[in-house]
Amino acid sequence: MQALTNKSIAVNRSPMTFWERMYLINIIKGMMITFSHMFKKQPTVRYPEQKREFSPVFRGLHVLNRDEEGRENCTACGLCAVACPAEAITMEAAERLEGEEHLYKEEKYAAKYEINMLRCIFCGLCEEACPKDAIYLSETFAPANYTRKGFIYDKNDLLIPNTLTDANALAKAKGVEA
Amino acid sequence: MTLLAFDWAFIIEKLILIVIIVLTTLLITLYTTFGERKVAAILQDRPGPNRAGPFGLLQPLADGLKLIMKEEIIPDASSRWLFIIGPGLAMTASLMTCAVIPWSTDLHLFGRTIALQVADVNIGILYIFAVVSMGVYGIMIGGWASNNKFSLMSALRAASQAISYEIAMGLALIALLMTTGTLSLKTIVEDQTAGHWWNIVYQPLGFVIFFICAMAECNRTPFDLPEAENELNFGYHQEYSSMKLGFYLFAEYVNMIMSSAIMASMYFGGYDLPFFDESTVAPNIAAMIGLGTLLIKIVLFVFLFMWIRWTIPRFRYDQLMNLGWKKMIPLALFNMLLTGALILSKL
Amino acid sequence: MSEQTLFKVTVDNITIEVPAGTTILQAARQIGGTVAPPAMCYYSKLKGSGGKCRTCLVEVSKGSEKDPRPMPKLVASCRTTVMDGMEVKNITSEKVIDARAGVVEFLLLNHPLDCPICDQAGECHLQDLSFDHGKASTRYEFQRRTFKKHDLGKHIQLHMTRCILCYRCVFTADQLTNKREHGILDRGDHAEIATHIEKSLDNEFIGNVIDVCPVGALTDKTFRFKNRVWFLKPMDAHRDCPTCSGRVTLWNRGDEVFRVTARKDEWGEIEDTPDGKPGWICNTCRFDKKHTNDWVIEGPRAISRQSVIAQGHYAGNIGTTLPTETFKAVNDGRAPHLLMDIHTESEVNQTSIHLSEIEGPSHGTTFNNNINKPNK
Repeated sequence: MQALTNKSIAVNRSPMTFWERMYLINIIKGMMITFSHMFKKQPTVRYPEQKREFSPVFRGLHVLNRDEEGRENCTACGLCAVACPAEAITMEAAERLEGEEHLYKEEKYAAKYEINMLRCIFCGLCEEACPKDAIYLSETFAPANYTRKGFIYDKNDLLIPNTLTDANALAKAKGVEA
Repeated sequence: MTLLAFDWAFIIEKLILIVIIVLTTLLITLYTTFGERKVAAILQDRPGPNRAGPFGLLQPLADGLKLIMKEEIIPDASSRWLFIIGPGLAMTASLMTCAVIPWSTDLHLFGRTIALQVADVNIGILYIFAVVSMGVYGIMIGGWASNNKFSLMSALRAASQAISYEIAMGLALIALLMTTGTLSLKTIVEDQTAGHWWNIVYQPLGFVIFFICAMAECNRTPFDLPEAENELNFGYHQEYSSMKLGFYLFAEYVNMIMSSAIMASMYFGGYDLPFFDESTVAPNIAAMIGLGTLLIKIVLFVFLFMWIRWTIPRFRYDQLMNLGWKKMIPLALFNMLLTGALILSKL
Repeated sequence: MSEQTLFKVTVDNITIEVPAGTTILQAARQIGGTVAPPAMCYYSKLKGSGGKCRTCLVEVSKGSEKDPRPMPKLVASCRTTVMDGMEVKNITSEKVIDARAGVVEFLLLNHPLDCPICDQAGECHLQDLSFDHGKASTRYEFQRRTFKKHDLGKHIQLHMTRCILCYRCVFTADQLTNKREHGILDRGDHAEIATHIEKSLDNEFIGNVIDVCPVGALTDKTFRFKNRVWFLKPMDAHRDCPTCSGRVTLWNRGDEVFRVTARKDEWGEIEDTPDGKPGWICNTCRFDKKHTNDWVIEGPRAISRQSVIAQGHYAGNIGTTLPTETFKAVNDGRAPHLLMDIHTESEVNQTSIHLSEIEGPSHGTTFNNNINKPNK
């Protein structure tokens, strides 16, 4: 059969010579290879001290966004939940009352919003489905936790801090995460 | 200071020496496990354990602590006493070897001459062989008592492997004994210090055979067939947990250190630092230098063991047996005959 | 019937024989599938409906056997009756496709596109229409019209901004209830559905305006914001109702009845009852019977698999009957040890809050019991 590329190397099936059968020489050759690796640069990223730059498309922990007036963008339309292949997102909607206009952008909002991080596969489909720019996958890991309960993230955990009411809130939140 | 016809000071001295040597050996072993992981890491372009303490130096303590904290499991169907005795026996046998190793020249303290060797028996080498053979019992008993077919199979492998390679090892040693003319390790080392070449020069082939056999005796890769995970799950210590498992794992490293010490003593001049005249310094300092030299030689051998382990894949069992019986033993016999012929021609 | 003259009509190269007096739309619907033109204002169960939205425009390439000239302009298929030998082009006509895209653009000029908020989303005809025939963007550059809010009572929620002025609800009120109380006020851009001087709509059958509304202008206030339709389980059910047929679709979450609607056929219209009458349902059935034990459940309703409502629904009884748990039986009667019971941890769908029992939409106060949970 004709080879498709010139990359293939035919296996040498000729009987081994005496020196090859001695095996010792080849062992020494192999040991030289491993020895040379002692002086190679380690590609290891020493994680807590060194952090690798996330790629711009990294999909990490979710955040719920606010608009420029500090109001929640989410209207509990359920598109993220229906897009979610892992069925990790659940929510419960409520109607905005008079006087709550500074809290919620639209007349409907998510009274409860939960992401089960145990189920989430961080595919980012919720982010793509969202018509209100409300949910984003940030460049943060979901931190480890001692209990399974700790992975049920509710709205308080997901909402980004309101920088209009507390100017340092974002820095504080980032400081906790760092 | 003799009472009831005993030299009590001698006994106390030896007891202290035993305690120090055993403890030091254990400590070194502890760090050998750490060294193993570190060497493996460096050979594989990664940092290795570096979290516990500075440079990860407390890692062995953490490992030990972990083993101690683990649940102690004794299988229902096991032979309970043998199951418990097994790891102890393996550990004891490994540690007993250090009794005859001459660690250095004599120390002069409190007006006494203290030999840095627990027992200078004139059959040192035979003693080592006897004790090393005992080590197989630890593995065999442990594997059998576990009442697990994998454990039993691996124990059988270990036993047959040890027996096969002991023959070649013994034959290689006979050649050495023919040149040295003594069985006492102390004498062998002293012969090498006193202006002679190291024995490696007279017995290069013998050393290679001995080294390969030592690796097989210690169940080190490429001869770690008793622990072949892919065939035997985990090996003869499969049913063990907690510190009993720790003992088995430890015994392997103690064995490794002991065989390094023996090889250093028999072929590489033991505590002899080449091109250095010990008589120019005070005897105690000379003893310390000797001890340091021996330790360095041991460390180098241990590194060699690790280096080989992280380079060469494991043999197949038939290859192991072929190598042992069809290559090593004829080679050792040939070496013995050659040595004899050379000695005869010199006479 | 047999003496009735049958006309041969060809729609998109498919020929069918229909009685004289049938509209092109009806004829096309008898063929079925994509041949049927979409209709936003025409409603076969409402007399006089149709002719307003222009989405059902078709091209008549051959007037009839006797007069084979094509009709000069596109015609509204819901109002044009067939002639013998008529040839109609619907999706096979470039002109129709183009015109329909234009109609959709017009319908969407003032439509707010607040589908994320709208309860109709998922079963909205305008969504389907714009998905099938619309363009991705609009050329409209002005403010969309807004209206003063009208309250139509405690059952029906009006969102005038979403209205496309199809008049279906007006016909419904005329034909089903004793007295129509709402209608179209004003003209042109200001035309709006309203009651004259704030009245609430509470005639016996007025709830049906919710079902006939093709968009989300009239929605069920008792269901408002409770859940998205595609997360609910549609179940066919009936009850012995003195005023109406009592044949409905229940929209359940678990065992809770979130919403009751009439049963709808493939054209989005009310299904006929077995005795041939349209299956309008009364307000009592629609708004007041929100308990499973008010109803006799017949089984899961078949939903077109093209619909988003079909997501999460499976064939057979899966999801409607609980599987038999065998764990305890094989585990010596011991219950499984759960690492976490999601129902104790999750605050969504809590057993203490019954949304179906809340009259209108829920508010922040409904859920406010433990808002100050510490952050993770």
